Amino acid sequence: MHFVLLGATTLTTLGCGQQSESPQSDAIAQTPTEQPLTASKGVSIGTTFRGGPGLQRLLGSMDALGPLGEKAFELDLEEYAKRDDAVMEIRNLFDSLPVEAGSARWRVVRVAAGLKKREAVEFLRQQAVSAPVMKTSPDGELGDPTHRVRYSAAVGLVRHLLDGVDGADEATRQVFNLAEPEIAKLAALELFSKGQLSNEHKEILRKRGIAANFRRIEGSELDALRTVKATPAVQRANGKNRRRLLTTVPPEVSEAIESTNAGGSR
Amino acid sequence: MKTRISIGLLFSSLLVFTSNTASAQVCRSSVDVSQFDDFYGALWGCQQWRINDMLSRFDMDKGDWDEGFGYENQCNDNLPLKRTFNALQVMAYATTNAPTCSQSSNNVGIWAYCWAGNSIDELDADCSEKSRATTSHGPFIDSRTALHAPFFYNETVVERAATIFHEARHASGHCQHVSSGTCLDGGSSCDPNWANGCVGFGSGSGLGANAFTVLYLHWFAISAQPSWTNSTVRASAVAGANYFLSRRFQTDPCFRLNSDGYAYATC
Repeated sequence: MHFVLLGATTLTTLGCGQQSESPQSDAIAQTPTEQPLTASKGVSIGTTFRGGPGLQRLLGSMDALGPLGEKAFELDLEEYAKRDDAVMEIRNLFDSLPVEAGSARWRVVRVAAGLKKREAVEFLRQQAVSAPVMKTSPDGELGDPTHRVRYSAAVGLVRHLLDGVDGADEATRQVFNLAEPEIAKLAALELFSKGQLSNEHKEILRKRGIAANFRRIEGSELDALRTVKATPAVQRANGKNRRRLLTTVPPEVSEAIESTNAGGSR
Repeated sequence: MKTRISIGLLFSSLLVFTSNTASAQVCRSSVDVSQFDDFYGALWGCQQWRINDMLSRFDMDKGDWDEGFGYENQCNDNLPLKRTFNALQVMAYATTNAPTCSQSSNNVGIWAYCWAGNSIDELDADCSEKSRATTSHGPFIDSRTALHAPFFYNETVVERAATIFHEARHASGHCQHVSSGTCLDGGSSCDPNWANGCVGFGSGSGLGANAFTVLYLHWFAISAQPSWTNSTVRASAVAGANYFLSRRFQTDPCFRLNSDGYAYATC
């Protein structure tokens, strides 16, 4: 991870053990006939099932920033949810993706999490209770590319429960019973944060040895948690100070604003 | 400095970006999973004054970012340089329109950009696939932070911002991770605990680099300006933070984030 060379130290950080994803898996090449999404690439899968235009549109529109973009995504989601084959299409796309394709699989689960359909409950439950997959990257780092997917599925399931979707209550209990303890805990935390974690839920977790004594961290305790001690800027060895200390508005911004106000352009 | 590695499946009709020289390398043959670069790229508009500031502030030299990494094509969202720019712009402006060097606020999103720029000696790039980023420092070497292929293509724009903040902590505090295999999940790149995670030869004290990652993602989740976020980006940030909290400490920090990004005690 780090070694000493002529007095130097290399700090190897963020090995592929963190959300380890195989480099080839997400970069699955497009087939020549595929058309890129106009708004965003979304998920483009090459040689296997990639979903119809409705699902592809959703996977792209989830990128749109800002309130208007968010609204557009929600509308697309509502429209897609009306389809009888929505979950089947989602499942087919998900199953076509290798486990290392964490980013792509996560996006698909995000769509499922917002469908508010009974059929989505089972899909989300299956993903939430699936086992971690520990993978070793080329430099020996150990990580789990499925954590994000399983976590998002569990949170999506909790959303379905909160929305009163049929079957979500039982499915959530199964997550508490069967999911990796960390995922079960995060699902319970989500439910707790919405004020819906019952004593019965806590009992299920307690029997598994999972503590559910949650409380929101606030006030001085939160401040202490988040306090970062100021560290001085590093003086570069050659003595040159090539960087400006940013105070308020950088000079270039001031110039740009002035120019714009004067009717100029940059 | 850059290793010449040909990676991935090359389909001549599918190359989404090209290089200007025969010696240029391509880290990935295509970009098929959006990591929000299109929208963040459009948000800051690839304005020259911003580019000038980033190149200067992070000492991003042509020699380290040319030959396929994007220096000759600085507005191409498929190339490492632009993807790094997108992350730096998020770091600067996602939380505030007036980033500052003053660390008086607990909200790291307000000062992360300036502080990281002052902490990282220079920002380089290569196509290594073995980790997301590495930071080297020492009295006899050229201190630098190198960004690798997984940084450019396996992380969302916001996660890249968090990674740069993480690396800046290594660079400034000389914080190191502890021995391989000692993380809660048996993995590597761990810090011993939350409050005193900055350890190692010549290191400072206080929060370690992994805590910096969590803090950046947490503050982004709860305080990003509406035009710089959406529910999907926020969910990604929270998922990333919870991954670090559950996997990247020897001692459980005993808190996690809910989907809104708020911290809850869990022990």
